[in-house]
Amino acid sequence: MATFSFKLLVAGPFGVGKTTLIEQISSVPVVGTEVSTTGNEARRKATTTVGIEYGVYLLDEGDLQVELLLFGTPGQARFSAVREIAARGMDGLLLLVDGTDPSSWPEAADLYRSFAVGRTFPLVIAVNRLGDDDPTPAALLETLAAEPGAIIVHGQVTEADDARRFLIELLDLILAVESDDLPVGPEQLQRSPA
Amino acid sequence: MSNTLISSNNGLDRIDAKLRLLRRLPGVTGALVASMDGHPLASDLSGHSAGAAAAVVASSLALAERLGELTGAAGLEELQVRTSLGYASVHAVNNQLVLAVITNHTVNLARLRLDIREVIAALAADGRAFHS
Repeated sequence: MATFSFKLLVAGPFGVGKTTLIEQISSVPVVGTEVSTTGNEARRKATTTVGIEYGVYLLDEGDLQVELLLFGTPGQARFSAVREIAARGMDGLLLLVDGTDPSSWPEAADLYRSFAVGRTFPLVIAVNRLGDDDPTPAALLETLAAEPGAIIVHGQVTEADDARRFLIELLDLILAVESDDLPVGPEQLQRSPA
Repeated sequence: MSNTLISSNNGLDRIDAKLRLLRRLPGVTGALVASMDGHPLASDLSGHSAGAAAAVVASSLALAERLGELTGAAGLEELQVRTSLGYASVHAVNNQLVLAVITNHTVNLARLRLDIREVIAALAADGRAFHS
C-alpha cells in the first residue's frame, strides 16, 4: 500500500466559495480564520477568511491512499502576503472562479498570474455556479489566459460530488506530472466518489 | 457594527488621538488600528503602507488565535513578535478591532503593556458607544 500526501492551494476572488468548498469536503474539522466583514464587503457576505484555512481530503483506492492537504487563501488583493506564504511548497492550484460574475474574472486572472511568477504548477480552474454541461464562456478563457495544460471543470462547491471532482481532476494532473515517482498512474483513479 | 466605526470621522479622530498617546512613550515607533478583516482605520507607521500592514496584522492575529487554542484557551490576549530591531505586538479589541504597536528595543515593556491596556479599554469603550 502506498500513501501520498499533496499540498493543494485553493484560491479565487472574494466570495467565490473557497471556504465552502473546503468545509464541504474536508474529513477533519477545518481550521479556519474567518472574521466578520466590514464596509462594502459586508454587503456581500457576513464573514471572510483573513489567514490560511486548512482541511484534509482523504482518497482511499485500496492499494493507493492519497491525502490532499487543502490550504484555503483569502481572496482580496490586500492579502497577497498571506497567499504567497500559503503557496510555498504547493503541489497544485485549484483556482475557483464564479462563472456567473464576469466582473470577478480579471481579479481571478491577477491571482493566477501572481502565483505563476517564477513557478509552474498543475492547475485546475473550477468554474463555480456553472453546470457540468454549460459551455465555458469564451470571455472567461480569454481573461484567464492560463497555460494550455490547465483543466477547466464546472460545478457547484455546495455539492460534495462536484467539490470532490474538482480535487480529483487536480490530483490527476499532479500524478501525471509526478508519475515517474509513483507506482500507479492517474488512469487508476476512480472518478466516482470512493 | 464596525461599519459605523469606519464611516464615523468622529470615531477615527478619537482613535488617532489614542495612537498619538501611545507614540509619546519612548521607543514606540508606530501604531495601527484596523478592522478584524484587515482594513486600516488609523495608522501611524512611518515607511509602511497602512493597507498592507493592516492586512498582515489582521491575518497574523487570526492565525495566532488558532495557535493560542493549542493552550486550551479560546481567545487571545496578545501576539508579540521580537526581532533584532524591536517588537511588534498585536491585540484584539472587543473582537472588533485590531491594535498593533511597533517599538524598538529601548522601550520599557512593562510601561508599554500598561499604556496598551489603557488604549484597548478606551477603544473598547468607544466601540460600545458606537453600538448604542
